[in-house]
Amino acid sequence: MKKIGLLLLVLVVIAGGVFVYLWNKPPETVDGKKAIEISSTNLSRVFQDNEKTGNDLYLNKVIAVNGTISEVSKNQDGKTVLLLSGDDPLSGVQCTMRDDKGSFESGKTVTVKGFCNGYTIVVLLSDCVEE
Amino acid sequence: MKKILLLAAIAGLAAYQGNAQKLMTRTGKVSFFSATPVENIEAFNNEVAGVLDTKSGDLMFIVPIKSFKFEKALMQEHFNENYMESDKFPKAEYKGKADLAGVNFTKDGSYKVKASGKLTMHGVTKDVSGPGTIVVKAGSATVNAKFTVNPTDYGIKIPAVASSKISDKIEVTIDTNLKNK
Repeated sequence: MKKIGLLLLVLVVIAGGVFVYLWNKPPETVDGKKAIEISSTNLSRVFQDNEKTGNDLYLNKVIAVNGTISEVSKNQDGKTVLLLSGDDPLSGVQCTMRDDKGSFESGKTVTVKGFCNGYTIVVLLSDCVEE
Repeated sequence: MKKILLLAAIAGLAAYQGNAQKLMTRTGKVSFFSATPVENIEAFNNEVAGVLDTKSGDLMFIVPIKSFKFEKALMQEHFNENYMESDKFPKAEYKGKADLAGVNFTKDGSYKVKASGKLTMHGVTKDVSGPGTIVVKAGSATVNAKFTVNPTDYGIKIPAVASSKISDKIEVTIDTNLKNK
């Protein structure tokens, strides 16, 4: 009887631990996740041609996008934001970097891995790291 | 045909840079805050597209829902999957008009404005109007506004078990810096 009580207590503690762990888990990152590889021109073209198709294929997926940097800027919270060229001057893939690692300049080619958040006037990737 | 469209787009872009009456961003900031006695929930979005026509006052924000970042993974998951259904409704949009009569975009300062328009979220469109400020600094303009949103108005169902944790007056804050591009 005592043994069962002890076992129950252990189970409750484990369940509680799992709950606290899950509850406090930070949002996931792209680290170690398999990515869909695509060029920034192709990715932006898919969304420009048909946003729904783009969302069906790429929304919330981990993407490794390769392209030429057309603009480097900081967002309002100081995070580095890259714009990778699309196939016309109005389009592109915007990548918000996770941290300040790496140095980027316009004209260079990079591969950046991040979560696809969909499309506004450009395709959006966030939590990005350079590959 | 595609080439012609492209040329037209480039011409349009050039014209638009020429007359400089549109201020825009792709990295605007919008956040929301839900306060209840049980818990506070907060999320930030730095991927909002915004355009303000400084002549007509036309104002537009495109808010990608997946771009809202939460402190906790579970909150973000519930927000996307259970409430906003962001796979089905990946973005919210505000289209409105700001009364810019008192705003001088060439003079630094903080100007009070009123905007009225329509917010489409979770597939439902509602009128959203209210006051805000535009802070002009060195040719850029920061749009600041706060308004409250009741999830049920937008067809967002909150199950009874979660209703004590999610406010029916979610405070949305717009703090978006628009530049002449």
